[in-house]
Order: sequence, then structure tokens, then C-alpha cells
Amino acid sequence: MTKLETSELDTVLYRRPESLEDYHLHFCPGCGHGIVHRLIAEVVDELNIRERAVCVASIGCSVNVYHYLNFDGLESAHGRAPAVATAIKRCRPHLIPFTYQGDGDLAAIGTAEIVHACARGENITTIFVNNAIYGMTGGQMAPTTLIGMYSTSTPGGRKPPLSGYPIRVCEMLSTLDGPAYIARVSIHNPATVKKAKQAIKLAFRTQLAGLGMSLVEVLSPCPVNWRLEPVEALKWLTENMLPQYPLGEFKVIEAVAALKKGAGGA
Amino acid sequence: MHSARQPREATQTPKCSVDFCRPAGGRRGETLVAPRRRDSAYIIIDTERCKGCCLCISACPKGIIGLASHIDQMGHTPAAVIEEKAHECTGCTVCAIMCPDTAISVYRRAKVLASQTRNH
Amino acid sequence: MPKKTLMAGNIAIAEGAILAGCQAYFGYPITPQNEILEHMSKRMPEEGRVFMQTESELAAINMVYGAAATGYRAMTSTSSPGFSLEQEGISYMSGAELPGVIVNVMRGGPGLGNIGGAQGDYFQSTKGGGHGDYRIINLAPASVQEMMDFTMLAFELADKYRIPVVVLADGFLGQAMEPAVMREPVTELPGKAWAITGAQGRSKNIINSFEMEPVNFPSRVKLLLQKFDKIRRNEVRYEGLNLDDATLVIVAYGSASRSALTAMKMARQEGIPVGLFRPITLFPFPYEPLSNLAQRVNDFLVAELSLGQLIEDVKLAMGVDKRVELVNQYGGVPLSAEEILEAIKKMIKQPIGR
Repeated sequence: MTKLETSELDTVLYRRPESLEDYHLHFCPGCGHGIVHRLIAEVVDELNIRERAVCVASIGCSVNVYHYLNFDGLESAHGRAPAVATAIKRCRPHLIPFTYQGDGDLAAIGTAEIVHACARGENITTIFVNNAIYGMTGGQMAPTTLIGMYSTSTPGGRKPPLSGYPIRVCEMLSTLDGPAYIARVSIHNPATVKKAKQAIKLAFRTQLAGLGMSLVEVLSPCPVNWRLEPVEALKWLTENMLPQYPLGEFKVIEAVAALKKGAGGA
Repeated sequence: MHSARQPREATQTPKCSVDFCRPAGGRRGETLVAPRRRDSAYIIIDTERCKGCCLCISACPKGIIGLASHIDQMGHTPAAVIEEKAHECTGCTVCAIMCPDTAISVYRRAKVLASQTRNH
Repeated sequence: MPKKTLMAGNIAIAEGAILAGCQAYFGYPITPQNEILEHMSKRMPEEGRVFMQTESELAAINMVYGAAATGYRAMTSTSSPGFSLEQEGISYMSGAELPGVIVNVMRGGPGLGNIGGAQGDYFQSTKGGGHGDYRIINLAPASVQEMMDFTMLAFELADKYRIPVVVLADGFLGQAMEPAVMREPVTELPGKAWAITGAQGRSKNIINSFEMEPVNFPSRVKLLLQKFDKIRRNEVRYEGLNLDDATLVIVAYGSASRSALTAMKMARQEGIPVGLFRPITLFPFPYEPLSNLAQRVNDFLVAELSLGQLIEDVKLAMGVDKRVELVNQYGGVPLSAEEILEAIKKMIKQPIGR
């Protein structure tokens, strides 16, 4: 293989965004977090809000997200990120706080906080990464684990009489009057990754315009805990998660729809 | 339906289920790049970041990415551009879009240097 | 002569917070401190500051965490069951070194307990009710004026040491109506370069209490321990009455100290030389002053509204040859001066020695 120098005159078609720190990510090979971290960094750069953005991390594999993003960030207790972000926004409204939560953090211990942040229509953004499993702690059942799905705490597959049913967060929260924009996206192929970025960008633009609560649920693979190769994991996601968690926009208030149509697009 | 998936037995050798992979060559520690051609796009894969997840390989519509022939210190087999296919890169950037580790940068050669290309 | 206003203890806390420059209040209704929430809901918007009734005490303490992270003076108020819910948040604030004020107007416990005043959260508040190695400053007011003054002091100490501070009151003090002087408002607040204010013209600020590598964590805890030592050396506060010639000293804080004060006066009238030692900071506990006192006083009577929690710290302060007895009520029932006097008399009747 011939080694080659690049020229400064070459056009950069794609490079690491400025708001993503130049650190090696600790995630497992094929983990969706790496993609979502990058999309957020791209959006923050494109909207030019690096000096106002605040990342409220949560508990899970993404606990260190503030290390990877090049703007202010802080830790929050399990499930409490929406409460922390609420206070940040109420105290310093010019900041752009967003929570970055997994399915355990948001849909198990954090159900009260996310419901009430939505009910109040807090002008914050939540990025909800749903991989239907507890990653950090080694693969236990999550509130979004599918029926029949293996996990270390449902070794025979999730069974409703024992472990109940998975929660559809977007559908549930969209019944509230408070949220302005709720969408579910995926990252299982380049087209869906692009759409995911558009949704995340629209969510941040919703906050910038002061229109209310925005939440984007991102279906994401967890190859190690699903016990699948990364490429197989994406295939499994399309075959199993999409039917349970359909993609789409579940709540788009008029003002957000106008934002979408308006100059600059989503 | 969602079938319960049992954990793999420890004795089974994990096999890559992706059948379109081809070895791409390259020695340990080398950052593998596509050779320059006139007006071509090319990618640079940071093999120290790459974990060999193969999402880029799966995504590339031209199939120009394969796996390197070495394993790095973390036990990953990084991705690498297949030399004879490199000129087919269109700069679509889907490899970089799918990369969870932001290990891929994508470029298009400046036209001004096209005439100064050495033959490889 | 500064003007005195008749006010309830809970209101004094609320007004004290506003005078101290509290910029954000988050609370959840729970008896016997609802008046604080209700008063703040009116006054904070009047002052152009942040007020929120939250969905739970869990949310409230985490909002204090968030507001404190942005550099704001933030406060929450609750009572014992809610205080239990806030322990996790307090541990996080301690680990992340965030300043904040938590008011606990104690009520009968354990469990749902009773809405009457009590002092059963002493251990929880002073020994760390949350997980991990930490301490929080505890201030114990014993009058409506002190409810106001110590709330103001709480904000000052919280910012000085980047630590949560508890104002440990009880239901009786919360409801008590006494004349109090409105203090001067604090006009200058300290700067906080570490706060989350948006990374404008500076590198990013991170606030956390987490260290992935265990080997890196002890040094972090050590810094906390050094802070606690500094607090122990510099912030001990207590009040001593009639100690010079006392042969028996009552040790009490909060409402119990008010009953103890009356009991002391009654005893003195009967010729019994009783003194009163009133800790004001429960952490840092006045071990040294108490221990010095124990050089010449042999009889100590601890009066508290619990099963006996303060008494353990009193015993810790003195040698085994001191007599430390307990007179108490619990479950939300007040302790009367007569009960304390009876205990005093019983104690002096018994010969000293084991």
C-alpha cells in the first residue's frame, strides 16, 4: 500500500467536528453512542452554539459524554438529568442545556423527571438513546427490552407475566400538552443517520426558538450485550426494534413545523 | 418475532458473519490511505481509533473498504482501504457517517495537483 | 432601633433566604414546612428570581444541584421524609463540591411518622444520610430570629466552602411566632469561575463526582477531607449559659433548648446550679468546648426530641467518667421544661459514680 501525503488544497468532505474532542472513544466496537455523540457535536457546530451548550450527562455507558464534547457539561444522578437541565435553563435561559440519557436512565428510574419536564414544557432538549438493554451494567433487562429478548436478568427471554411490557416513550410523552417536538429516529444505515441528525438539529432549533420541550429518541445498537457482531446488530435492530418502536415524528407543534419549513431547513 | 438469543459458548470461535470482507493489506501501525488519482476522492482511516466494527465496510456502496491484515494492541482488526478498489471512491462519506469512532476523514483531491500526479 | 416584625419561623427562613440573595428555590409540599414553599412562590417572582414547585423532593434536590452548578445561590426546603429522598442528591452535591442550602423542618419519624416537631434526623443530617465519605455543615436555630440569621449564614458558608449546608429546624420552630428583626440584604455575591455558564472565552467547565479509575479517586476524597478539617477548625459555633458555676449542664439544640432554657431558670430559682450548653453547629460539632467543660462539670443531661442521637456526640466529647443522661420525647411530641426539671432533680439525687 502506498503511503501518501494529503494536501491542504484538498477539499475536506468529512472530518471530525470541532465540538467533538480528539479522544479515542471508550465504547464497544459498533456502539451507537459514538455516532450520536458525533451528530450532537456536528449540530452544535452548525448552529454555532458551542459557547452556550451544556451537556447534562446521565448514568449509563454515556456517563462520560462531557469528556468527549468540547463545551460545558456536568454529571447528574440516575434519572434526574431533566430536573438538572430544568434548573439550568430556568436560572440561565441563554444556555442551551440538553440531557443525554439511555433507556434505563430515562424510562426506568427517570420516568417522573422526564414526564414532568415534558408536562411543564420546559425549554430543554433530551436526546434519548434506546438500545433496549442495560449496557453499562452488563446487559440486564431495560424498560424497553423487547418481549422474548434475551438479557442477563431475563435469561429465558422477557416474559410479560414476570417482567411486563416494553415502554414506548415517544408515544407516551406525546400525549402531554407540554412538548413541542418529539421524534423517534434510528442510526442503522447512512440514510437514517442523516435523518437522525436532522431531528436532533430541529430539536436544538426548537429550544433556540424558545418553543418548548424537545425530545429525540434514537434507536441504537448494543452489539456486545445483544451478543451480535456490529453489522448483524444493525440488521437485528431493523428486524426487531423498528416494528416495536416505529420511526417518525410524534409531536410537532405548529411553530416547530414552521421552523422546519423555514429558511435553513432542519 | 424476536427470538431469544442465547449467549455464545466460550469455546466457539467467533466468526465474522459479514461475507463481503476482503483483506486489504497494510502493515501494523500504518495509516492506510487511498493512492491519488486525478480528481478522485479518498479516505483516511485512523487505524488507532478504528475498532474493526465493519460498519463502514457494510455501508460503502463501492466496497472499497476491507479489513487490515494485522490486529492492533486492543485486539481489533482495523478497517483499511482495498488498494485496487481505492480509485472507485466517490467521496459519498457514508463510511464516515457510519463510523462510531470518527476514525474516517474524507477528502477530494484538489484539481490543481491533478497534473502533477506521479504514476503509482 | 431596628424594627421588629412578628413572624413565623418558616417565614423567617424564607425571608432570610431572600435577604441572602437566594436566586433559585425549588420545593415540594410537605408538612410542617409548606409555608416556606407558599411564601417563596409569592416572593421569589416578586424579586425576579426563580421559583419552582417540583414533582418530588428527588427532583427538587437535583434542581438545586443544577442551579448551583450554574453558580446560583439555590435552596430547597423539606421535612424528614422528603429529606430522606434528598440524601442521594446531597451526596452528589458533596462529591461535586456544589454549594446549596437544604432546610429540614424535622417531624416525627421513622416512616411517614407524624407532623409534629422532632429531632430524629440528627444522625442522618450530621453523620451523612447519603452514601460515601462526606460531611455537610448543619446549623441548628433555636428561635425565629435564628431561623432567619442561620439561613443567611448557611448561604455564606455554602459558598465559602463549596458544600451543602443544612438548616436543621423542627416543626415547632417552624410554626412558632416571634418578633424578629429584618436583616440587611446581601448585596455582593462571590464569583464562581468553576460554574457552568457557557464556555465563552474559556475552556469548558465540567462538574462531576465520578472517577472511572479507582486509583484516581482517593486524592479527590482527600481534598474533601481537608475541607472538612478546615471547617472543623474554623466554623464551630455554640452558646453557653450559666456555665461558670454549673454543676449540671443541659445539652440541647433547637426547640429542645428552649424548654431546656426554661428548665434551667426554674432549677436556678430552686438553687440548683444548672447551665445550658447549646450547640449551634451540629457539624462541625463543638467537641472541644464541650470536652473542656467536662473538665470541671461531671453531670450532663441531654434533652432532645429523639430516641437519643445528640447524646452519642456528647458522650464522644467527654471521658467515660462523666455522667451523661437523656431526657427526651419523640414521635412529634414536645418536651416540657417540667420534664427536664424532673430529670435534673432525679439526676442530682443519685450519687455520682458507677
